[in-house]
Amino acid sequence: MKFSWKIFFITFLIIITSFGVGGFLLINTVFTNTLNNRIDSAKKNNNYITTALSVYADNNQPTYGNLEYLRVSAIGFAKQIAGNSDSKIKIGSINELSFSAENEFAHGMSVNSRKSRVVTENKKYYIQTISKIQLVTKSCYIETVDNITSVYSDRDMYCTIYQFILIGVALFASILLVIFSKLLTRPLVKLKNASKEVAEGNFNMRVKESHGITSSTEITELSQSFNTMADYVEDYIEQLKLATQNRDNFIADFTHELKTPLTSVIGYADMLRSYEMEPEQRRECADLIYKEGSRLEALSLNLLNLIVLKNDEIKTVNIRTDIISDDIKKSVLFILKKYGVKLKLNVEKAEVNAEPSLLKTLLYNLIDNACKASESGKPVTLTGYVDSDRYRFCVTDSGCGIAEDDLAKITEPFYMVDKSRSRSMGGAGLGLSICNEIAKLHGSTLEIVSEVGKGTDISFTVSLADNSEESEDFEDEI
Amino acid sequence: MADILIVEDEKNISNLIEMALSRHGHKTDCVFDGESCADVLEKKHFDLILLDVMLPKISGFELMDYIKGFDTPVIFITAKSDISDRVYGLNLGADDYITKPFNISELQARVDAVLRRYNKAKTKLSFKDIVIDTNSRIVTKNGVQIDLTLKEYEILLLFVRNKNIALYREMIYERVWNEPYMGDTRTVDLHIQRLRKKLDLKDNIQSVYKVGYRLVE
Repeated sequence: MKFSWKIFFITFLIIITSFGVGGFLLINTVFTNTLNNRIDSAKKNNNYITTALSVYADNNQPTYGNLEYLRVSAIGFAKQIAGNSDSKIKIGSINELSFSAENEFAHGMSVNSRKSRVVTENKKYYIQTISKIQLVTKSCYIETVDNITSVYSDRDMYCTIYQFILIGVALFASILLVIFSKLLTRPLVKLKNASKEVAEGNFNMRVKESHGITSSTEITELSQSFNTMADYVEDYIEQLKLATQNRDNFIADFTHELKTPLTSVIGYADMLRSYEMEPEQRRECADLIYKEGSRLEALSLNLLNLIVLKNDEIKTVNIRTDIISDDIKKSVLFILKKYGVKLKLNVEKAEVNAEPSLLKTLLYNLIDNACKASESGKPVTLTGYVDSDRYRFCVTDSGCGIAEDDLAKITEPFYMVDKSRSRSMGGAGLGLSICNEIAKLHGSTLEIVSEVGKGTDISFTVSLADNSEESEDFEDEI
Repeated sequence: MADILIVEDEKNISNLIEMALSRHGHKTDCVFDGESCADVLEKKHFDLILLDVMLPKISGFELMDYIKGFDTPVIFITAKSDISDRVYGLNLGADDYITKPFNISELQARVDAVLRRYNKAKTKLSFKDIVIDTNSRIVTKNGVQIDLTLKEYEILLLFVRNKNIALYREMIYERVWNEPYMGDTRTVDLHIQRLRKKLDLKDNIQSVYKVGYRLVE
């Protein structure tokens, strides 16, 4: 059942019940009052007649000798008095009373007592009042009967009218209730629809936070929380999508990089085992299998490095930069000779906090890349200097440079600017990814400035050795 | 014998395909990027193009539009093995789609199949007085029809296509029976004996010591 209908039915029930009960109580009170008044006045009337009769009898007793005659004339007098009122009067013995009152109601009444009751006959209502007096010699009953049917019929009429009023109120109230319950629950319906949309995958769905005159604090708060939740969900989903996209790209690139050497290995091996071949050709096949196999090995090693670097935390030590530059100088000698490139070192002396072997790998890779990009005879420069509170290493070459479009993607795994050139040099597009990961582990990223044809400048920072702690210790000792 | 253009930027793989197809009796030309492919197509007619998708400069998929104008059948050879890529490639108008790494015999068979479809492969092969019609699968010797079983027919086809080349037993088994060789050489020997007898090729199908067999003229 809808919430708006629940509100409607509950409120409707309360209104109708209270109106109904209240109204009928009111009508009943009015009725009871009127009835009591009528009974009182009937009693008074009866009393008046009785008193008048007694007085008349007492006054005329000496005049009339015949007591029976006195009685008759007294009754005539009383009737004369009562003639002005609506009441019917009967004066006489117990047997003459109306509504069979002699059987029970008037039975055993003592002299000078009075009784009254409401009687029904033929759907008409009467007040019957009976007094018993001693008239001259005999006891005598004086009965007055008032027709009070109008009191009852009035009550019935009010009831009928009130029923119509009640139906009218019900109709009016229900119309207003339907409108208001819809208005009040409208923000909830909107929220429901919005959450349904979100559940169906439309994550950019938002609700209005204020709904004007029908809005209440709770609804506004709920809307706000809903929007906050939707924001989080959308962000999270975006991140997930991005992560999945990255992973898919990585897998696609990886498969391609894996399949190319595998195709050669499998294909040449297949040729070797299928056909008798000239020794020269056989050697060529075997050579290609060996080369492609080595490439696969290098690929798997690089990939392993990348994965390990992504998951690892490193232990850093303090190390002097001149020691690093000396080590690098020795280890790059081979590649310098191979590409015919000169290396210029310009490293400021300082102490840095880093993982030595990773830092050397990073510098080695950058210099290797710079050499590959440079023509023979051109210089490659390694600079190191203190850059505000960190130490910056910078590898500069004046080689072919990198196009602007490629710059953003160049640290992505398997990205190669010139595929065939890179392959022929044995690369798989992982070198700069590894460098970037190492830089990240040292709290930095690779910053690449490059211009096509003019050269490339790649730099990163590491933190300086934390000497302040030592000096503090020193002071403590003093 | 067909003229086949190989468009593949990986020199090693290009070389491999060339080796496999020339062994199979085709003439091949190699280009290493999309632009030179377009250049070569203008100058020379080819019966079939083997096209890599990930090429420098112009991708294989993009090149397809240009190739359509020459009405030359195309087989894609690529590392992209997703169903969506295959469907895309075939919808572009390619005749087949081979994913890397591929099997040499599969490559040869697919090339033959496409050539057959375009009636560009020779449908009649002959060896001495034996004529093989690959369309009707009928083998005649001196005009007389010889009944061969399916395996015998396929072995004969393999020999005639690789004349004067020593074929390993393992290779014969894998090509003809289409299942990995498990070391039972008797099956191949038995079929070759039957073939020698039926076609009177005793002197022509020679045993090669420790290798297998060779068909010589």
